[in-house]
Amino acid sequence: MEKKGEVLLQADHMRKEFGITKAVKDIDLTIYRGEVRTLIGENGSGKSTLSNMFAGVYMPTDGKMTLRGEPYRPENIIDARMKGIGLVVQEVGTIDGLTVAENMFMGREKRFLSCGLVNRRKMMEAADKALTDNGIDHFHGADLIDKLTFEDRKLVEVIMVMEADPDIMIFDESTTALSRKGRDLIYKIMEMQKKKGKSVIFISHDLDEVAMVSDRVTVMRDGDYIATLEKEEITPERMRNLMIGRELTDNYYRADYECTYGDVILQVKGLTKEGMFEDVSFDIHEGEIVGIGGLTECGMHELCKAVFGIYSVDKGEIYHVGAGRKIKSTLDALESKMGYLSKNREVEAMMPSASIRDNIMLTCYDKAKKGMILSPRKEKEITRQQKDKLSIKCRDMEQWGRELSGGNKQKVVIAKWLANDSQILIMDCPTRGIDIGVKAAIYELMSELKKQKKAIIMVSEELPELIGMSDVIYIMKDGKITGSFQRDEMVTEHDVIGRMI
Amino acid sequence: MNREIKKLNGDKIKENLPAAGLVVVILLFTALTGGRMIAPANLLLIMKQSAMQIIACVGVTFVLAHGNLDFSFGANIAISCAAGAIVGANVSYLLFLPVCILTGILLEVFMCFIHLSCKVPAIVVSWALMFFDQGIMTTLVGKFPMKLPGELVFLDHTWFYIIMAVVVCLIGWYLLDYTKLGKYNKAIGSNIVNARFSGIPVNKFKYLAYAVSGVCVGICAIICMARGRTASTLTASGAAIDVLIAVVLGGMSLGGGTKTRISAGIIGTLMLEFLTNGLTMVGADNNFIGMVKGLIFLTAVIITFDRKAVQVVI
Repeated sequence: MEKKGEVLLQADHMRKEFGITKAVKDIDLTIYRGEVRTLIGENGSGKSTLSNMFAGVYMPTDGKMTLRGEPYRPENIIDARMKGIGLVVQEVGTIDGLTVAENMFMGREKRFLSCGLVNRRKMMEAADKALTDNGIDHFHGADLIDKLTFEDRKLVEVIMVMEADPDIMIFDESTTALSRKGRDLIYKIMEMQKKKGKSVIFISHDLDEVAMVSDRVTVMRDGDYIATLEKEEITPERMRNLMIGRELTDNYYRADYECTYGDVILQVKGLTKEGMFEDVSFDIHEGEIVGIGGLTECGMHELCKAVFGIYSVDKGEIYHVGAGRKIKSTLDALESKMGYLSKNREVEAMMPSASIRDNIMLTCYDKAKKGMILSPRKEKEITRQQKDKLSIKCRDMEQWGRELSGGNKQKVVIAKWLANDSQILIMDCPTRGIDIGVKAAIYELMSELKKQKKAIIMVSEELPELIGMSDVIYIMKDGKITGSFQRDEMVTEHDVIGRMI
Repeated sequence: MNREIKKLNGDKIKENLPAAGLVVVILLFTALTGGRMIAPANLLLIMKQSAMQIIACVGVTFVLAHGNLDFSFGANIAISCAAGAIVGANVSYLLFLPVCILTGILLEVFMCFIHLSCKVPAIVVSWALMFFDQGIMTTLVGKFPMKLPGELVFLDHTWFYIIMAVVVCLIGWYLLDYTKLGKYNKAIGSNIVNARFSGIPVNKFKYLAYAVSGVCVGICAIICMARGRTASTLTASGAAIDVLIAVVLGGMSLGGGTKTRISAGIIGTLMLEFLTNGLTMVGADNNFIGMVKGLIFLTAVIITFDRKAVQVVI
């Protein structure tokens, strides 16, 4: 057992209630110097709420915190950062319209004052230095932050928090949307914190990542503290079981190791789009799950959009064998009973400010036609059917999409395509940001759809998911397919990664 | 659960506020005017005066549904009046009605065409069209007489206006809530990217929305000419803004989306008409009426603005 070391943060009897909702019920937590502590738990377990209390985002309903031996009660997030706890959020934490340097030193411009004015040159230089110190050379302090990718913006935010040299850095699901490179940088930063004798609180759904970086893992469920695992005890299975509170007796991914499928239903031939992907060809069969993997910028996300007809291509074609037609537009795709689930669920795959019913009916209004009218009663019938089939947890069908949990939002998106009897589903990162329980349900659903002879193209950045679910995996790198793997018990992550980098 | 109940009630209140406001205005001024405001003759007058704006609101609602604003509506009405009058005078009075409507459709669809093919925001195109229309109108008014064909004077009848308004509202309601035209436009307003990624031919349905708006432009032109007998550079000026204020008062969100309703325009217009009518009856002057309208509009926006959609995360 590793020596625990000095106590950095002590939290006793932490409680947080939002009206009648008890997000955190009564939790004690001790964070030691020089450790990476990961909090895991399903959505609603309270892990984010707890760390938000540490970071000054929420005022605790009750409880006492002690930091470095002194009582600690942050007024707000900036106050917390000054006092030694810095938070990196999951969503966008940087501000449009400003440069990288302006974002990085937000609120701390004082140190660049000369004669009462902010010396921009000094600020840019400091920003450039901070970037190169962290091995970042593809953008600079003077760049407008809008021009950066989500990932680069997240890195700027991380550096911004690091500038305050906090004793505890909190990463709240910050790695979810990052590529391998971005994640590696975050891991490096976490190592640096440890070396400096500081600590990290990490929140992530990726259990393999958690197993790799954590010194200790604290499991939460429904606002309660469940257990803390020491380094040797940290395995994905143990974590999963503790999170759900029961043994996952059925298989998480697919139960079989056979590669099974029927006739060809869709052919992708020599698909090329400049700057995105080149000469991509593969067949999709009925009842087959085609997995596509690679690093974030390998072109697989764009490939999805092209196969569904959203992007036009420079060369090549997509041919739907069943319907005997080429897919050139989303209308073609829809009529050929294809469906597309975007990676950016809330922004691209659904309408947050519309009812569940409006969301699900969007692709199949023809089914609700009664003469010249779209019948509300038929709409309700169709929606209810989907709600029951997929066990969508909601108050009622008129509830707005944005009020659902991540997993249920995804179920609504899937329902939208199933309602239209889609035969081919293109799923881009279908379980991203979804907790274990619902993930398992979605895998089960995919197996069920496979049995019904539907075809699924699944793009995923999670290797275990790809290996666990696909009949065949295509790996992409720099826009080209660099390898393929048939479903087999012997395929390991090591084999697959070899083709990705 | 309590929090959910409170939120549900909050939403329900927001939804019904415009209708409640209308009732309050009617009751208030009925009392203040000693019942004169609800005398049958006066009610008929109010409905006649509301008719054109209600029809205009229906047209604008379809474009608003997918999230676009149209500031050229009034100017387009004027051009349609002009076109109808010129053709009616020089060719045949029978063509007056169809030409008004076709001109309306042409103008609105043209605006959509520029918006989609040049990828310019629709609101900017509508301003440009508005100025363009005004220029044309000034030229035309100088060169041609703009009169309602004598054979069509019979159209200037209270019941014609009221029935047109009712028919347009019913058809508008049907199209918006019970056909793909309405559903798809609302979906586009709610999330245009999702609409595209769900296979909806966004451009086609935007065109259809503008076409519906164009028909309403034409009908408004007919009513305008029927009531005023002539057209001038002042015809329907400011109509676009009046319509915007009316629909916002009636509870419409300017971003469009699935909550778009025909009733918003009707309630808002009636509220303003009753307000103006009632205030005039008790002797208020125009400036005072203008102030009251402005205040009520501001209050309506404060209460109904969807703050969640523009939240900032610190």
